[in-house]
Amino acid sequence: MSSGNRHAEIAHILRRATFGPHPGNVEKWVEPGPEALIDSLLSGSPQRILPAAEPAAEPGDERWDDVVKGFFTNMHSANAGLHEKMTWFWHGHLTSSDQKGGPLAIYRQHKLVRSLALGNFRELLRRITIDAAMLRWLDGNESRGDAPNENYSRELMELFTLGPGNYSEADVRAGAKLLAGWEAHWPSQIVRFRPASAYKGKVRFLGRKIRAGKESYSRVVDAVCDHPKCAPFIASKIHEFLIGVAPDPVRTDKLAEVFRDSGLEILPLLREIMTHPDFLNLRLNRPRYAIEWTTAAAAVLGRSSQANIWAMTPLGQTPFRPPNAAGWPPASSYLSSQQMLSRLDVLGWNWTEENSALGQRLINSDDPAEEVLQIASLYEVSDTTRAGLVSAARRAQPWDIPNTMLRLALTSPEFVIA
Amino acid sequence: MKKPVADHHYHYPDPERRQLLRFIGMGAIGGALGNIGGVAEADQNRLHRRANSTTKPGADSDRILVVIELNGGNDGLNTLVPYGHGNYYDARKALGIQPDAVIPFDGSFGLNAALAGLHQRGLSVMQGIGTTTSPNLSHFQMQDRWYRGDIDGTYTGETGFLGRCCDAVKGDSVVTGLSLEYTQSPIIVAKQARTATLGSLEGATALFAKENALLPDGIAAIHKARTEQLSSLFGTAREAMRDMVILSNFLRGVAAPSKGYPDTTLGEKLAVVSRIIRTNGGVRVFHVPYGDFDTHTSQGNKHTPLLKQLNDATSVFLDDMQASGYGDKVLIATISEFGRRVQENDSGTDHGNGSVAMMAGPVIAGLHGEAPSLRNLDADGNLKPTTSYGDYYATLAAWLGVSDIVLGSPLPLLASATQANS
Repeated sequence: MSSGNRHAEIAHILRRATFGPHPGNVEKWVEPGPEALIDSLLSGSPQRILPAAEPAAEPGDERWDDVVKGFFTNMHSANAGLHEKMTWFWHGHLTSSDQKGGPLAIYRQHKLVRSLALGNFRELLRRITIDAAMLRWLDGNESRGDAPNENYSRELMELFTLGPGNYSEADVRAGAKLLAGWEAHWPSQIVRFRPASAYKGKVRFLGRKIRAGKESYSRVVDAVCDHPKCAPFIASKIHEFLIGVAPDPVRTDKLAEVFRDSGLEILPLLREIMTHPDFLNLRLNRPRYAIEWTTAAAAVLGRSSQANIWAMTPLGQTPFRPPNAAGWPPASSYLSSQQMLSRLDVLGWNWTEENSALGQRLINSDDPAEEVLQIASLYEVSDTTRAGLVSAARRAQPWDIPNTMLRLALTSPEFVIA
Repeated sequence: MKKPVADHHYHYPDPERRQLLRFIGMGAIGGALGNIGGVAEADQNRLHRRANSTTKPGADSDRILVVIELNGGNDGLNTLVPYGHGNYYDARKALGIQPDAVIPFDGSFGLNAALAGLHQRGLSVMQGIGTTTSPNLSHFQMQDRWYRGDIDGTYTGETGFLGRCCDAVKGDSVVTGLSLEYTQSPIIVAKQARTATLGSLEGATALFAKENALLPDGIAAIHKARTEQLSSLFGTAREAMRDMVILSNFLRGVAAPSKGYPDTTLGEKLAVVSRIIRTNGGVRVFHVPYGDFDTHTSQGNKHTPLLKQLNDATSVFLDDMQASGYGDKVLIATISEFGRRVQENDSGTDHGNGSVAMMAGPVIAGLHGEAPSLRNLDADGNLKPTTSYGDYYATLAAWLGVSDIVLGSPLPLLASATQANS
């Protein structure tokens, strides 16, 4: 194996399983090698939630900013590993917005997702089903047994566990009855079961007869988790997130088997996905999500985590503000002309000073094109991109070198694709 | 050579400030044209040729379609209110719109009074619109069908309904279709025509900031078409960057904003649509997503205000178009993935099927179509649509002089003088 390829593999692993690479990280792992890096990622420890203190319940609380910044800071950190990446994945999958739940509820949901991002899926689903932010986001909070609201019941099956076509409208209605009765108190956001709001009696849900009551939400979660479509559905979505393509049917069966046999533990599934040769071999096959591009670009530019929070609106991926119950759109929608306009604009606000270490490194380099590729951890580079960078460097005055080279490199196909 | 001073790189605006900056005119940002690279320059020339040509509002080939998407599933029953039907108030005990808040069409049906401004300007309301084959209550499945113009669930093509409209009317436009949001919608995906997403005009011409003077050449070199690829996505990424340059260039010459638009999301978006239309640069199709009409709960507090915002922003837009000579050239049409359940839940409504579609501009104002029964519902308790949304889509296509891109036949909703230019 050539060492060029080795660099590319390390950079690839860090793109997919973390929010980097941060400059210097690739070199550090070349010698231990890809397998050692994957091992280290699978056994890494989580970062702590930021900030440590809870915000108030009301929207507009100043501490709310700290909650968004906290998540952003964690993702931007050079210590962000697989746990952080999966926290983002679950935030997009079992998603909620602060706009319906308020800061305190969404903070507690984030804490819950962080605590189980590499834990047990059934437990995560059980707890998020009666989580205050989710109850408000998908309207369980206002659902009553005598007038059940179908929103959570439908999305639980369509988006969270089974996929369309694997349940009936009767299941949606039955699920709504079995889930009714849970309410988040305002402003404490403490969730309680109110028998008066619950459905009375038994209903058939996904082929099981379940009696409505305090525990019926848990029976509903069991019924969807035990459904034959659940394990392949989740396994396939995580596979696509990390490897860029959906697994073929044979591979899907294998992943589902591993996931099911472990009792829906997330870490063994990740190990199965990340230790398969496809994880290393299928490179440059999906666009970087806006959040991945922003964190990686900030790492290259040596920017603090908070400078670019505002940019997530035009980039379409503001944490805690998913566009709808399906979370953010698939990776394929991040290669639009609007994304490129926004990204160029973002880079416009991230000026690299001539006399900064990064500026000096590029200005003083004999080969600024090669230098910027290395800083951006790009090791698989097309001849066209390289030639374009070389000619730009040749035409630039020294003071133009840093920002011209960085902007061209960070908008190149090599950098916008994961 | 003198060292240039960068325009704006030392300060980070806070988010509030960025909000204020959105949609502010771009004259201050634009500088010298610079060398934009071969393709873009040619397009720029074409744009100018077009803008200076004698083609003024008046020719059929200048008809424009503005589709406002009421995202989330608009409640047709509280938009076009069956206020003469007791069944409606039985099902909508809490949420029913009372007769005194309705503008009557007849003794049975009336418009939610929040839409008074549009009614006054001539609103065409088509009732009973929905899918007449295999209804589905999933937002994502039904949006997918509406976006792709997949009327009966059998369409397998890759383009969206508005994308196909763009392909058919393409002409020599630099950009034929625009979707006003930050992430790409499948509805505007075209095969031959150039279509783009545009969330706002903010930052749209960053390329022309002084400190970026060397970028256009660099971008042209790195993002050349028909060059080698390390993966199939390289072509897509390079095309997106080339389109970005063309779009930046196009937007640099955009007309000044009109006054009077409300300070709402839809108001801001329609103000941008107006600027681009008045630039007369050949954009024929606009997709304007709006709102969260998914009113499962608290519908009483949300739905009528959403209609009011639709009314206020669209009324200003219609007046703006009239005043600038585009009154008979711009058709506004709403779409929504489905309606809501007839029977309310505790404080809102769940996903349904049949709903209403509204059009303004050169239309036959008033109520059209056959009302779906409030008693004879489908197995899920939803209205049975009386008209396929394929027919509605065919009407919008016919406005542009386009046929055979969707399963359906045009409805007689366009003002007679402007019926499909066949």
